[in-house]
Amino acid sequence: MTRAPVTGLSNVSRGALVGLLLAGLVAFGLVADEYLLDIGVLVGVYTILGLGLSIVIGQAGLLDLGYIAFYAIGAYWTALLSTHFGVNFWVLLPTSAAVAALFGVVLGYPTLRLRGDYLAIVTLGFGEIIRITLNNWRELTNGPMGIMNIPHPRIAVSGVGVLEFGLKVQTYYYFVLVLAIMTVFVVRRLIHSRIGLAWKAIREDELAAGAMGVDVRRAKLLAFGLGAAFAGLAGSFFAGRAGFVSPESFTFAESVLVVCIVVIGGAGSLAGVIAGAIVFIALPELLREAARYRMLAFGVAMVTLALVRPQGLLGRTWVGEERDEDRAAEAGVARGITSRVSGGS
Amino acid sequence: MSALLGVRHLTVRFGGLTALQDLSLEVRPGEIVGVIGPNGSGKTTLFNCITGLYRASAGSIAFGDPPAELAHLGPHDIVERGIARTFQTLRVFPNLSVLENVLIGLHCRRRAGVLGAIFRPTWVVAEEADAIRRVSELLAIFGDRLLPRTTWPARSLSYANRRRLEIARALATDPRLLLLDEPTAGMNPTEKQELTGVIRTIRERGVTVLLIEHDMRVVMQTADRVFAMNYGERIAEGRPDEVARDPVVVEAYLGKMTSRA
Repeated sequence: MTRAPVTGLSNVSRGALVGLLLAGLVAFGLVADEYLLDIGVLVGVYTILGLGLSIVIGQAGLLDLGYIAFYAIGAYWTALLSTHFGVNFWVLLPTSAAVAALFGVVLGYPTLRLRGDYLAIVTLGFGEIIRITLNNWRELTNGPMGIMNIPHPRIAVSGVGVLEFGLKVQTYYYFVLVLAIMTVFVVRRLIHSRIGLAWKAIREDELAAGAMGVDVRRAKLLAFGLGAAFAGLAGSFFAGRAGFVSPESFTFAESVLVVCIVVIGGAGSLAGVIAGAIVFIALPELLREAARYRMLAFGVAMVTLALVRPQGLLGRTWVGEERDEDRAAEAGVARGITSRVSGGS
Repeated sequence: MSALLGVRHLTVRFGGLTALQDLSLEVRPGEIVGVIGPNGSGKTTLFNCITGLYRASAGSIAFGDPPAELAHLGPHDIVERGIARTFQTLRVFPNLSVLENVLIGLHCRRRAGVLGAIFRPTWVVAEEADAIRRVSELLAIFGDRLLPRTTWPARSLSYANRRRLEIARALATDPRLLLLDEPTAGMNPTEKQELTGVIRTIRERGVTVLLIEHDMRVVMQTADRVFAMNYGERIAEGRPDEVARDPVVVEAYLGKMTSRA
């Protein structure tokens, strides 16, 4: 109902485009070699992470620099419960999301009054606390050595057979594709809902949002919790696929990478997040030939993008016809300021 | 008839500064009450207290019938009970469309939660359609000022239109009491006249209005009663023409006539 104002596409052509895209993604799984599929899996994981974080940053406007902690929590929840208690992966996948969401709410609670820079610093601290805890609580997490021999997912249907995921990249490609599509669907529905609108209002003006009847505290906790849930889901997938987790997968640099995916893609835009994941994950891999200049080129690209398109690759664009009105609005603001200076209380 | 809003002995201090001093004010259902006073007399502070943005140091604010105490409620609870406001310093959501801005006002009157958002059962779809209809109704109060611009970002609206949008957004919360903080500031005379009509229309729709306004013509044409403040205290109260002539009020605005030879 509150879709982006201008899409330039009718529903029919939009549907056709999505169908074509899906067909392409499925076909990619059939024809691509293992190397490309591996990149595809990574893009999928970071798409899920980016979409989750886009709820927190893009929608609610809360700069969370410790997001990767929830990815770690999902991964370790899956790793610990499967290796110690032999819990089935398919139980751990959704519960990882739930546990991460719980952590999201618990860690979000003390930050409710913080904004901008302060929030960023505190969330950064939380991210590090989780990683350092995983690193040092050897009795539980085996410290920097990590947890090995996490069982890979398998689907057993009695009478039909067993699908062992094992180390087959193609299976994980399709698995992550399904998870990513689910994530796109859910996040899309959320951001176009009443709750998504409340998040945007908080991003725009927290005080006004509260004064217009939005329960700011509740909406923020929902953003933290739901955002974290997707990280937990991705973490669980990561643990099941790699069969191994260790704290070094969850460094601050990873958090920054996900933030970059969200922001560069265009905070608030779903397609932008996906584009961001492709740019940030696939491009560096494919540019490996020019390894020496890779990060340099990357840096230049980011700075250029920030200058040329501050709203991100696919950020929200508005109707073009408002230019006159814009000028009128500026004049109006000027008038307002003078009137406030001369006459406001 | 008992009061809709009863502010009693309200005192607000910021450190050593007393912004409101033992202030009492009653608003009866269906009234338009004008609040006037020089700059810094505490009018906006009063609004901020009523809407839960500031905590009072002492005193009580009762709302509704039977009266419920507002002093310890958060802003969104107060909106849900039926008090909405606009801001003197415009606070529309700049990067949201006109439609979205007004939909935010409907937030507390809609029920769809996370599961409703994801699965979109028929009641949620109906709720959304209903909300959009309601937004159109509200924007129609301002004729064709806002209706043709529903998809525009609020920041691209003219100053006067942003003031109108604030009012529409506040009305969307379905208030019994609407607090307008200088709704005509920055408007030209024609626009002011138009808004005067809108304020009367709002009252006719059964909404009680508390109005901070510097333009005495707007106050005269709308308010049933005027409440004048200075230095956080009440200095006069009564019919608009009475208050406007009150020597204390004149003095507050213009200073004391000194008899120098």
